[in-house]
Amino acid sequence: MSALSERRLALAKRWIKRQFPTLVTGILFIVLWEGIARVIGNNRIVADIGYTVSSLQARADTIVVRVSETFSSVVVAFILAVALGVLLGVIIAEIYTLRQMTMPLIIFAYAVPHPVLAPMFIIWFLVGGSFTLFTFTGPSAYIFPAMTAADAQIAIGINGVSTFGAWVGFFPVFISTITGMNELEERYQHLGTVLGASRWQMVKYFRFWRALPNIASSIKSTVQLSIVGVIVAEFIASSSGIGYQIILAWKTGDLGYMFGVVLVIMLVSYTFFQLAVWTVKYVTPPGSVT
Amino acid sequence: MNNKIEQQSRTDDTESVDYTISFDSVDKVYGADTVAEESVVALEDIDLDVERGEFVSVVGPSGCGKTTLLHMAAGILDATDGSVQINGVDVQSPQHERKEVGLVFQHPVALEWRTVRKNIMLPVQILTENGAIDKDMSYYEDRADELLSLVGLEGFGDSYPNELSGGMQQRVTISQSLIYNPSVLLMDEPFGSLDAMTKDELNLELLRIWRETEKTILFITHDLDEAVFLSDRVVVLSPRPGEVADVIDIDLDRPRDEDTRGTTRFVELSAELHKHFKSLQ
Amino acid sequence: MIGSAVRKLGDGISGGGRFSIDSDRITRWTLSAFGLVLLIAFWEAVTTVLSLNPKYFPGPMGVVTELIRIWPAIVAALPNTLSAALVGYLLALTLSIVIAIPLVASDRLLNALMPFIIGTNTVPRIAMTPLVIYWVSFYSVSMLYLANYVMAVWVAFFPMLIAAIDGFRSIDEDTENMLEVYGATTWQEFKYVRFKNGLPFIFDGMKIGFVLAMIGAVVGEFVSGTFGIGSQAASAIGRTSIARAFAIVLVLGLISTGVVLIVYLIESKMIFWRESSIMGAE
Ligand SMILES: Nc1ncnc2c1ncn2[C@@H]1O[C@H](COP(=O)(O)OP(=O)(O)OP(=O)(O)O)[C@@H](O)[C@H]1O
Ligand SMILES: [Mg+2]
Repeated sequence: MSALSERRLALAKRWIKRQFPTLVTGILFIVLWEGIARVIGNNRIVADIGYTVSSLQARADTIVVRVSETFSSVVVAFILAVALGVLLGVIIAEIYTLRQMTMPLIIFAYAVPHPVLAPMFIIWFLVGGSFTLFTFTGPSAYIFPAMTAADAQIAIGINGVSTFGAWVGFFPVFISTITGMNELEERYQHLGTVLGASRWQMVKYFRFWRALPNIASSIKSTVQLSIVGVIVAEFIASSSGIGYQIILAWKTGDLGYMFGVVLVIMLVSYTFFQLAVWTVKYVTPPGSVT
Repeated sequence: MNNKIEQQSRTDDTESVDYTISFDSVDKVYGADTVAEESVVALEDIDLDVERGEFVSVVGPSGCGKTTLLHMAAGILDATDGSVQINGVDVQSPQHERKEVGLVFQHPVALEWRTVRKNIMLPVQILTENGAIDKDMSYYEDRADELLSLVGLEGFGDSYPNELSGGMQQRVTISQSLIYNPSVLLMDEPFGSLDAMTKDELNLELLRIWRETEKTILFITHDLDEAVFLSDRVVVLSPRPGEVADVIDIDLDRPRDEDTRGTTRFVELSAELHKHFKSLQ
Repeated sequence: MIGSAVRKLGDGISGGGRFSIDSDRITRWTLSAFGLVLLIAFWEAVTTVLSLNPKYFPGPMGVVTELIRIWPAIVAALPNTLSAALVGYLLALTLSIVIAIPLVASDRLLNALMPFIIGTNTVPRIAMTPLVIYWVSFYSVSMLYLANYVMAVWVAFFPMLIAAIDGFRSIDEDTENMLEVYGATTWQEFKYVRFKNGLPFIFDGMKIGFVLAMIGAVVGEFVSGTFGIGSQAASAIGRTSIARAFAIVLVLGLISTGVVLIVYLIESKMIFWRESSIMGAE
């Protein structure tokens, strides 16, 4: 018993020790921010912490609604990116001819500065109609008693924003699927030949599993990029989500709100990233995600 | 406290008897400085002295701490307790002379962007820049050529490591540790990855180099026959935590050659060592 | 991770690039060309057969016609965008290497700053664009274009910094021990091992880095409206001219692909000891 609790204590100590630099960085950041703001002493150049927080508080309801909206899109984008990335990755890795034929396109699509494409996604889905899977009452309805359920409603759907997020997040998964599948050691290839495995069996029993660690470790980039995609789409092409709120703040020259929104985006993105990575770590074989 | 005084007087002895490598009640605990439950006692109370010009092998089951022992002698690892000295100087002190020690690793260490010759020359460049050695570059360049032919890599001086087999790369690593002519050679299963024939050949070569250059060699191997064939003494380590379980004197005549392995004495010694080894498990 | 990766994308199943014969290469090029032609034909066919509204769903012909029509405007706008992207890129690259060296040389510094670096790399830095524009416009409205340079650096810097740090650090234990045995100084470690060892990583960072610098510059222009390709894209979108937006995508994509290919070619020349890949890591 006591050995166990001692071990727990030791583990907790180590965890704290490991989180220490992060904590110090955080505190340093806050001190630095407030220090600079005080030295400049002008909330129109650098908003101080108090001003930023009060600007945020004034529009807390909007922020919560918009953040929920954004990260519902991110979830859809992420799932789409992983599903399509793996599926297309397997196909492209399997079919040599197809791989060669699509090579230039893939490289081009990878290299193109993606934000330029965001408005096209939005317009296409406006014209073609987007597709709502289901809706639910967002957290804001519970946080703010004044808010009606209708205002807090969040739609999970396939629309311009979420597909664009998926497009941006797609490449890491896609590419690591191809790489992983092609890295199957020759001896397994030989084993398959000896056993008379069909092509599909090779994929099912060997190649896909060989690619799994690669896929799992690419998930980190995909989470990051799905967030980037969704926020870029929001702030340069649509008027939804937390991304658009920065543009709004900028247009009205409200620096306190702008600071607040940027800060919220950074914090929520970081938290979402850690959660997603933790989840993936939890569901994949140990050691896949480092 | 008493212990320390004892150690001190022992150290003084060491210097007078002219030991080249000496371990003095050395303990090594991995992870001793972090959280307690993860620490591993790798070596315990090691006392081992190697005389100048002696060839000593260390054998022991995998994971018993052989590499750890060697790395402490090389100054790569710090002993948790006790002291490790080379030529009477603590290996962790600034007076320790790097050029006196050569280390051959268990796996080939060759920089893939340097040619074989340049890889061999690397220690010379570093030691010269640091003022540890001061002979002419051309001297070492000639030496590199000699070494290349010595280890059977003539004609490969301008190749890159990627173009060589694992065994050939290992020979590059060996040449690298010989180029600056250290008086102490620490070798960690240097021939482990070679085929039997090359291994026998390099064993003979190593004995020849040892005899001609009067080096002190601490040699690690898991091949008991190799240990008998090469050494003056064989140290047997026990499984974790590694302790000196046995020291066997090898009284085979020198110089040794291919025929040595056929002598009755060799067979006896080898059998004895095998027996000792077995009794450990 | 993607860094070491994509080379396989272009390889045959047999893989051995060194032994691939010319006919193999010709087959691959032919297939690629054929694939492109097929794609364009398919695209054109779909738009004609379904008689899609060219305003929203232009065919390749429509895009090319539009490209030719706006070519002079693009040529006029390109220098601004490219100089922001290139200058920002080179600045970010230099900074990333210069800063990675002391970080790798001192464990303590690295431990202290790594959470900040990783954290900043994780969040969508591009969301800072309006803030940067706001600040620059506060400083001087006539120099608003500086915001694009800043964004290029800000977006491209962190991935390249992490690539450089990873590269300088990724030497195996035996090599590290070897350096220790010879008593190599920190500088000698860099000179003989770390710089060379880091090169493949740095090149991977350089590939994604250029794409990111372009993103920074283009989004900067898009939001601030300073003259450049980005603001042209914004105005094309404002008029819902998808063909024009496509033409712009085509130009930007070809430039980025070109730069990535150039980096790749330099890389495969310089790093003879291992295979290089076209797509870098993010
Ligand atoms: N860096 C380390 N941290 C923690 N434990 C270690 C470390 N290095 C080695 N050990 C442990 O110390 C013990 C001795 O390791 P060492 O590498 O010296 O063994 P070895 O005798 O050389 O084995 P082998 O014959 O397999 O090479 C092993 O049990 C190993 O698990
Ligand atoms: Mg070992």
